[in-house]
Amino acid sequence: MIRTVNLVKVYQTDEVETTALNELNLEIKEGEFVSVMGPSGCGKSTLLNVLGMIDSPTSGEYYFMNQEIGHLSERGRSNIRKHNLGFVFQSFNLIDELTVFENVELPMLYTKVAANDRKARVEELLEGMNIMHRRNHFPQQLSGGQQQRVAVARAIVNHPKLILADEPTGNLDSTNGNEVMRILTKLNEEGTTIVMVTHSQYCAEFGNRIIRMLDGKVVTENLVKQYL
Amino acid sequence: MFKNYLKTAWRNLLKGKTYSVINITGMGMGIGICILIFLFVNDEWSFDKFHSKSDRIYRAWVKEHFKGDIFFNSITPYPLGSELNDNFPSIEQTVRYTTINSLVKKNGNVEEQDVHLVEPSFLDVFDFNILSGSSSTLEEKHHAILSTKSAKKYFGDDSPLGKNIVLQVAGEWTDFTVGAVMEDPPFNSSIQYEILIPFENTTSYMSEFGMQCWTCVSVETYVLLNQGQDVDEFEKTVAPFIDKKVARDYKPGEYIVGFQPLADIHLNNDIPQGIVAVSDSRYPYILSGVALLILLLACINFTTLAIGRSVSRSKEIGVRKVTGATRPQIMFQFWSEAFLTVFAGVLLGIILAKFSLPFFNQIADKNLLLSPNPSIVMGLGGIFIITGIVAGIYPALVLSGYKPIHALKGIAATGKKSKASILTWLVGFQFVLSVVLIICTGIMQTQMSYLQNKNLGFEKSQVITFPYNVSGEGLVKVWEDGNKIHARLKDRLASNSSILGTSISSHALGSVGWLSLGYTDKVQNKFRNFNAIQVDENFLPLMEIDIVDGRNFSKEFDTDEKGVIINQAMISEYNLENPIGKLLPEPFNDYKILGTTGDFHFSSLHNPVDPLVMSYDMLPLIRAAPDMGSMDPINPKFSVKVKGGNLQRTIRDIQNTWKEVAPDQSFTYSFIDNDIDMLYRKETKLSNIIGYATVLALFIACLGLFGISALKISHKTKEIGIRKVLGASSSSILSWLSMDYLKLIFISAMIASPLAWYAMTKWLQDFEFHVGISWWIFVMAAIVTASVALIAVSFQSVRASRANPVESLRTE
Repeated sequence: MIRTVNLVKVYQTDEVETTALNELNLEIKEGEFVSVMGPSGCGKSTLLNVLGMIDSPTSGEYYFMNQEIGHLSERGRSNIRKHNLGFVFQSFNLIDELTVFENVELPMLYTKVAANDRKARVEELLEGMNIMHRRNHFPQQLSGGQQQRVAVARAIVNHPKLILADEPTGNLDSTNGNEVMRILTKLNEEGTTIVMVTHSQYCAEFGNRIIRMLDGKVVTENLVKQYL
Repeated sequence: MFKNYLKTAWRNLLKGKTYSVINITGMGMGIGICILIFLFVNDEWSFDKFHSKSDRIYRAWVKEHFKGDIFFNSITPYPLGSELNDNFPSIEQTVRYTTINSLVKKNGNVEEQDVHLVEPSFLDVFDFNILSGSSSTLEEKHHAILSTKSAKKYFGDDSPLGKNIVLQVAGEWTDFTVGAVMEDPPFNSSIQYEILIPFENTTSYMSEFGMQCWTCVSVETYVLLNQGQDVDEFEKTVAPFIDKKVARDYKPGEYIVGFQPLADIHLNNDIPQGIVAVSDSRYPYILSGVALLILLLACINFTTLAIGRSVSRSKEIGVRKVTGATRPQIMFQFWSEAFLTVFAGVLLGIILAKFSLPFFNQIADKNLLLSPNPSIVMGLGGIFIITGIVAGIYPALVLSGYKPIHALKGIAATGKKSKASILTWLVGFQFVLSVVLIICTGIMQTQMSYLQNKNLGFEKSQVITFPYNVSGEGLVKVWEDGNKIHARLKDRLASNSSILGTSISSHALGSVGWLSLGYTDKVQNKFRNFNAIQVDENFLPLMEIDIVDGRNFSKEFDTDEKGVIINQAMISEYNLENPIGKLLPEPFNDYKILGTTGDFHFSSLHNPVDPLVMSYDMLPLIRAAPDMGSMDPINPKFSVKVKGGNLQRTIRDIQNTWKEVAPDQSFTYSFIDNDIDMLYRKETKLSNIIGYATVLALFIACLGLFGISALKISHKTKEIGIRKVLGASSSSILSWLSMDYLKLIFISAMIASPLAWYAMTKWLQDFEFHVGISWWIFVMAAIVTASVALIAVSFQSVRASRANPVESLRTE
């Protein structure tokens, strides 16, 4: 599903040049649950952003479902993004001015799903996430765990083939963290490919492969024990 | 989707209440003033267009080239209309039109009343509708048509049809039978009538010569051209015809008759004013410009606040992009927000305009109405769309362009220097505009105060003036009667201790368009002219006009009837050294100069002081002049100087005495100082509107400044905390926060000053006498802007500078 060839991402500020991805090569197959680990500043989040097409690489190639993405325009990337990808962030990134229902509904507005279908799909997901009773609340009125469940619902509402999760449990207590991991695992079991950045070994092991990064490169790739 | 945009926009409005209030208030005020100015401009531009044939109606003008001088007039010779009508098949109809200042007798009272004399075709050419009575009224010499207003005034609720109204025409009281009542002319009609009588009545007071004369002007002539007739072609066919008519006095091409479209009359200042009043064509543009700039200030507020809030909006943009929004969709969303704010602004603007309309009508001297007619709806629609697009343009185009990753991290919103410079430019632009407006207001007010307080060379206060009105009667008789009445008036008022003196003259100070006498100077072979006025021996002392040389008129010398007093301009014009005892130039050389005065301002300060001859008896002077013209009628005017104190009672005393000495006359008085103020009415109107606009502009700019400073300070909270921890005092924090604005105001004042100087130099050129542009007005404008800006900013900065450092640091 995903293949990168010598992927480079350099951040340029006034006087400092930082290489976040350094000729990174990686392959992820459909249906995998890959956890990306590494120390702060090693390039994990950059990798996730490039894979998620919300940032473009400086050089190298990035193939998503056999299509080279790295040099597509923002419009082209946006088009692929909205039909294939779902994002879950550490800080949830819900829109404060929209209710729970509206936040989850949002991606379907951009893919022009009919109103009745939208309503049915959002309700189905909110029921599944056990948050239906909060449908008319605003994000600030929810706990962190609830907010992350809404964010996950939003990420999967358009049936994405790939979910990119950037430390999805980073702001949650263990109970809520476990709940989110349970949902992601279930989604993976249902066939969704997941790439998750995490600092937690515990969370990483919910996946079936762990990639460790250092200075913008993949240093090790291990299958999780149960998949050995 | 659109619903989602509106929902987000609405919730954003509610979330940032302070900013929404600033935006909507600014927009509302800007749109409110735009609505008022739109009504004003729409009214000015709509003049005379309501006539269904307005595109075919033209007013004739004449331009005579005579011995090096050009005489340009939109009042035309008497025979022009009938000659055109009889000889040009391309004309459907012509209308001649003139007015007389008449008197109306009603229930024993006499009132002054303008009466319009029009040809019967007036009713066919113009769309003034008869409400009741006969449309053939104007074919009967002694029939009259009343406007609804004058019908009510003279006959109350009774039908006036068939009843008589007594008008004074040609010095005779004449009965006119009311044959019809017509609708009042609309406010946007150049022709404003109350009583119409047939044009035939002009024969009662015009001489046979006047009715044949091509070098005298007395009436306005309108032509209705045939459908499809090109006016330029028509003018070409008229030229040879006119050449023949005036061949005795003019070579071909020296006497030109042209035609001006009816709808062009009101705002065309290139053609001299005729009988109907005209406006200043520049004012609609100046006022539209000011209104649009004020609206632009409100749009800038919207933009600067959007930039200021872009940090908090950036996350939302990122999320929308990550979930699939395209750039056009984000642009559309920002524009929806702008349009929602503008919509609220339009509603507020309508309310503000509605409530301030009576006040605006007062300062603009108009009768505007705010009603939902198609032009207002279209105008409002235009304001809504343009303002929405302009206000939303920056957020829509720039914020939508953030890369998703930058937007999510907020880097896009904070990291760029270009954004700070755009903000500086925009706020700077607001300062420039504010300073320009303050300077203009300052200079205009200074000029208006100069006009009011300038020593005019005479004492204008506490003098009332009223005319002896007899229209059309011979001047000799009018003046004989006038002098007798004055003698009686003076005699009766002599015992009244509140009356300081009276005089009689052919023009009153405060009126313009005094008699001008022209002749061909045979030595220099050129046309020359000077102004002339008849005065009595009381006029100069009463008006406190000093005799510089020689003496005043005196009854003791019979020869004074052949004497004149002249002003300095006359001395300079004719290079008269030691003028006393000398004669006036030919053909006025019967007159000897008795005395001289200084150059008192007998016309408005727009014009230089022209040569003036004051005579004891001007009729021989008029007879000697080959050319004469006077916009102000040369009938007797009485001036009465009164003591301060109980003015009302004094005026009542004068009125009662007037009724005794001139029972057939109305008592229509005015104060000379008020008449003088009226000469500057147009400028007073403009300077007042600009003054109010400046206050409004400053307020809107400050609203924006208040908002933007709050946002800036919220972004600098951490820096404030660190500075305080490092030892900065509250006052040093305050000056640090204000310094940027002060620098910006200084630079803005530098840019604004030459712009304002240029605009005001142009404006002051309208006045022959005007103030100099003083440097202190520029400094004052900068100080006012800086003070107001600092007050707006200090609301936020004082609080921030006093906060405990730990609170500032905790916000990060």
